[in-house]
Amino acid sequence: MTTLDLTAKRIEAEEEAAFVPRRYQALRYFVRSRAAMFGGAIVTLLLVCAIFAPWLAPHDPTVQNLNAASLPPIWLHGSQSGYWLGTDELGRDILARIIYGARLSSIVAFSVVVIGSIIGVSLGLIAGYVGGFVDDIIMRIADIQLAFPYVLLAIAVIGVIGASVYTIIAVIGITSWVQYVRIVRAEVISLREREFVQAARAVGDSVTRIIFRHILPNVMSSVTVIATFELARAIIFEAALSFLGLGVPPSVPSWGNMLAEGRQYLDTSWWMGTFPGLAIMITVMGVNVLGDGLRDAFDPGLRTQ
Amino acid sequence: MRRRVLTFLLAIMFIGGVSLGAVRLATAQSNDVLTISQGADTDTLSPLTTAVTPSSNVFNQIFDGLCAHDPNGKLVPALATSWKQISATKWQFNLRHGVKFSNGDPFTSADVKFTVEKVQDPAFKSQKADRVSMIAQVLTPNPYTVIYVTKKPSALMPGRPYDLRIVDAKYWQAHGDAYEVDHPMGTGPYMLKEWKKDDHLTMVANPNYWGGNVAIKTIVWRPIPESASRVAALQTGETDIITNVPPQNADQVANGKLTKLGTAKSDRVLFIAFNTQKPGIQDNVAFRQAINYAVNVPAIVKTVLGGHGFPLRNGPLPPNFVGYDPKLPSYHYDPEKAKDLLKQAGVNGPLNVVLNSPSGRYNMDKEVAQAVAGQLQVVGINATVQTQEWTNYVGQVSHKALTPMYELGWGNDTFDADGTLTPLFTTDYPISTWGTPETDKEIADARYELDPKKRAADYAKIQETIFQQAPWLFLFEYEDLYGINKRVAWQPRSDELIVCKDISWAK
Amino acid sequence: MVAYLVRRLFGAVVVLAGVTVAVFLILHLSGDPALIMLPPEASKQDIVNFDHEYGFDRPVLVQFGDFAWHAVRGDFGNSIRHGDPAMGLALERLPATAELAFSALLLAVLVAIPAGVIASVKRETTVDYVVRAISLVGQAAPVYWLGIMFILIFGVSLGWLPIAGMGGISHLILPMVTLGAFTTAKLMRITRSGMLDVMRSDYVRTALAKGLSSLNVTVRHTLRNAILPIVTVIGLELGTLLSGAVITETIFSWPGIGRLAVQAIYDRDYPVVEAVVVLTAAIFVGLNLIVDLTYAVFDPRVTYK
Repeated sequence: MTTLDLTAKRIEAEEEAAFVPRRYQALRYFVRSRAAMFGGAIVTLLLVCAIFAPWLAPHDPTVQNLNAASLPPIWLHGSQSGYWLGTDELGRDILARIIYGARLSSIVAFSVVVIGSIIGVSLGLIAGYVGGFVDDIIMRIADIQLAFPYVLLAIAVIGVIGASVYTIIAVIGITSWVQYVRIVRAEVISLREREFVQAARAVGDSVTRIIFRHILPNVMSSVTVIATFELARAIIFEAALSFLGLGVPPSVPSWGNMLAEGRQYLDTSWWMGTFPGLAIMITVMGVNVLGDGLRDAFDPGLRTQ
Repeated sequence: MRRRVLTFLLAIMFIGGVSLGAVRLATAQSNDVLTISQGADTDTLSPLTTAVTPSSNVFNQIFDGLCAHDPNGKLVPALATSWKQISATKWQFNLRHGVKFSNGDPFTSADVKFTVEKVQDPAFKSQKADRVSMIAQVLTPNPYTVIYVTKKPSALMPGRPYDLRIVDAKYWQAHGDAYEVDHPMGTGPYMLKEWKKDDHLTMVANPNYWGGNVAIKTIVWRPIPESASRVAALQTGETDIITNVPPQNADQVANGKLTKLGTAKSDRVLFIAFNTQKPGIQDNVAFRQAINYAVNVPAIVKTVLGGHGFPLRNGPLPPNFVGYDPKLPSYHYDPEKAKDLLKQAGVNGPLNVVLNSPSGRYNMDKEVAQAVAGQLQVVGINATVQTQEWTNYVGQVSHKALTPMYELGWGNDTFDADGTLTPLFTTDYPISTWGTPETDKEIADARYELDPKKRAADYAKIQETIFQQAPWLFLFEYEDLYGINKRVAWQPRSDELIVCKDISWAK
Repeated sequence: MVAYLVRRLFGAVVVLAGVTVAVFLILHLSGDPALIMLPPEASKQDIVNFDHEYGFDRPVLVQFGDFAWHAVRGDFGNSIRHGDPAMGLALERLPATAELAFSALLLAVLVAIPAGVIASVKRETTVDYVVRAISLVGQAAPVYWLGIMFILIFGVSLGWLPIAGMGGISHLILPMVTLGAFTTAKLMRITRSGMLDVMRSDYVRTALAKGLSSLNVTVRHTLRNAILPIVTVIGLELGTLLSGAVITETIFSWPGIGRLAVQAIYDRDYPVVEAVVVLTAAIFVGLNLIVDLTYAVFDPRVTYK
């Protein structure tokens, strides 16, 4: 084996390493961090509730029972067995609604992440790689988006489409993509000048191939981190829209709806608002911790947030 | 260098924050000041533009009308001391002598004429135009007499224009329309002292008020939009009177250390209308009647409203209205009968419908809709509740776009059947989704019928038809809930108006 | 540097113009103000008259031209609901929101930065865990839930603080803490992680090796270098605070611009909505400009494109 061969092998290995990020190291770090595992557990619990809701929930979340209205949680005086966390003003079981609410929050949050990331990453890739005028336009649109009040946007979209789960996803998704663009663009700009990209260009690879094979995989770790935080933001955003009366229709159990309705009862039937509030808080905390853990795992130098 | 720039920036923010907040005088919560909190601030202090209750409550203290309503809806003198009908189309009002506006201008018939004509002026865009639309002309034979000449003989006189508040013609003409929004000039018991929009409005007693001295010398209006905050503010003593207490807080307010609950039978009803002017199962009268039997309204009133409501199951008119027929039968809860009627209507299996509802516009509106949907489930109707925010909702209502059923509330402070029947049951009106040529004519005729006995009979006939045809799911009449500090003596009114000169300190 | 400044200014103007166009379009898509402004008894003819009076029946392009022509001069027309000039109403309310936002930010800065510094210095101790826990919870709690809890605890139960409207400093406390909670939590996290980053770097270790005292090193070297991302976040958060004030202002009946905007949007009071959106966008854009310039002063490399 000549020195040349060894050098060639090393270059190959390095290029492989650049193509496949430090995934295995990342995974090992991740599993060792307790906080990140906690976050992962919360998200898993969320998904379990979302997928297996019909089997997990003790009652049907939409069935009303005016004779069992406003019952307190099981450990308080005046409660009825079977209603673990109490009932709301129409007699619907709170625990069941929280479990189904997890389903809605997951659907909304993951859809938002998918939509937002696809749009945001694509535009970020284009803006960063192509640069110039296109870059300016994309960034200005992002700025305009950021300066625009989301309430107005929500009312307008709802006025045109009508309120539903899809509307919420659309509204939150529209405000989500901007979070990706800036960072992806910055990374693409720096990656653009790296040797392996230069090499690919010299060899004559097409732009698409360069973007998908060389640049995108390196950007994915940041994107994953941003996506995790966007997940959390989507859950909170849904709650805020419900507060303003712009959320999903009231017949759909959602944490935001429950919190919005429950706020009027916080000093009488406090359980109606407190438990969904806790659900939101714990989920968001878990997701945030997961995001932190992912970021630390992928690259400790990525403290851009 | 960097540090200096940074410190500079932080210093700016600090100075900005502190200086804006530092010097501000709190409004004193003293014994002489009454604080009232509604859910919204007034839009304007000109009494001629808007008809919205929170605004009316504020500027009504500054202005008077020719007549007023006593708490039972009976007409009593205000700026007019007496009135009589002198011909089929002429009503004469004798005006009170010696009344002055708070700047000293004397009150005369010229002010009344100016006020009516201003409201009627289409360029002025008043929301109160329908109150004087029947007046063709205002005659002022002398400074203390006013004659309203109506287009046709009308049974709505003399009461319909009762709440038109009279403005100072000379002052208005001198300053123009826009000035009036912030600078009211009236004859009423109170005068404006200061107004910080959306925060508070202070008014003080008018020393030259023709009605004598009032018990409360200073009133502060402090709007609190969020109902939980409003109740909390009452409980801490920050405010003395609050409107629209949510039903679930009623007991808390009634039993509070500092507070008591004031109730009044409202002139507002809540209902679910069927859009019979669009195709669908709701066009079938058996279906509509079935729905009326399928819903247990007393149970809904008990649980959702906490008992603070009065089921109204025989028609759209509350019992104390002129034109109400006490002999009408009522719908009652009978799910078996409902199922039979559904079969008659051709419904043989589960049916999916949409129930449209506003959200947060009326007390518990969304919750009532959901409760109704829950009960319809029992008879095999899957009703999905769809809410929208109010602007879109009312737009769709006005275009008759909501189908097959939609929830709505209606407040009628004239206490007269016409104020409900004409807009809601006349075929072509924007917010009516039912009507027949016969009832259209009957309603129009009744409006002008001057003989009270015949009028009552006319309305009885109309209500009979409405009962049979069931264009609504008849629900209930609200009970208005007010929170009052124990140091205040005040009885709330049915027309949602707060008349401050009738408020005093409790002994 | 000058070229950079000019470029940023131009970008800012573009963004402002974009926002103005966007708000106009969205408003006109979302509903007819006649239906909300007129009483429900209004007949079809009344609605037609109203539209004609306000020019809503003209072609959209004509309406926009008219609007743009006046907007550039700062004239947004009169509020449909109140009758007063729209921009005047917005400006009237601005100081109240500014007071709230600045105070919240001040609270955040004064609490979060020291807390973050201490947590980073005393890593893995109880203090660190407490700070991290608080920052997690603070970023997860929905604003209005927090606000109402404060009202119930400090206003009603304990009776310590007033809960409605503006007044002296005592009226400011609860809204300020409610609004500032999220930002405080976020800043705590950023400060801590920023400090940790810098602490690991070579020149800090050099300074320690040279024998400088711990405190000296912490404040003079570490903090100064960590401050840059912190300042960036502060600038961005001010924008978030301005828009997040909407919910806080509603709960505490604070007479600010957020509350005005939401009410105007529900009323379809076009002139007021347009005035508020453009005004807040202008402030947002202006603040970003300042932050960018600060950034450029600290790190001139940013100005090269």
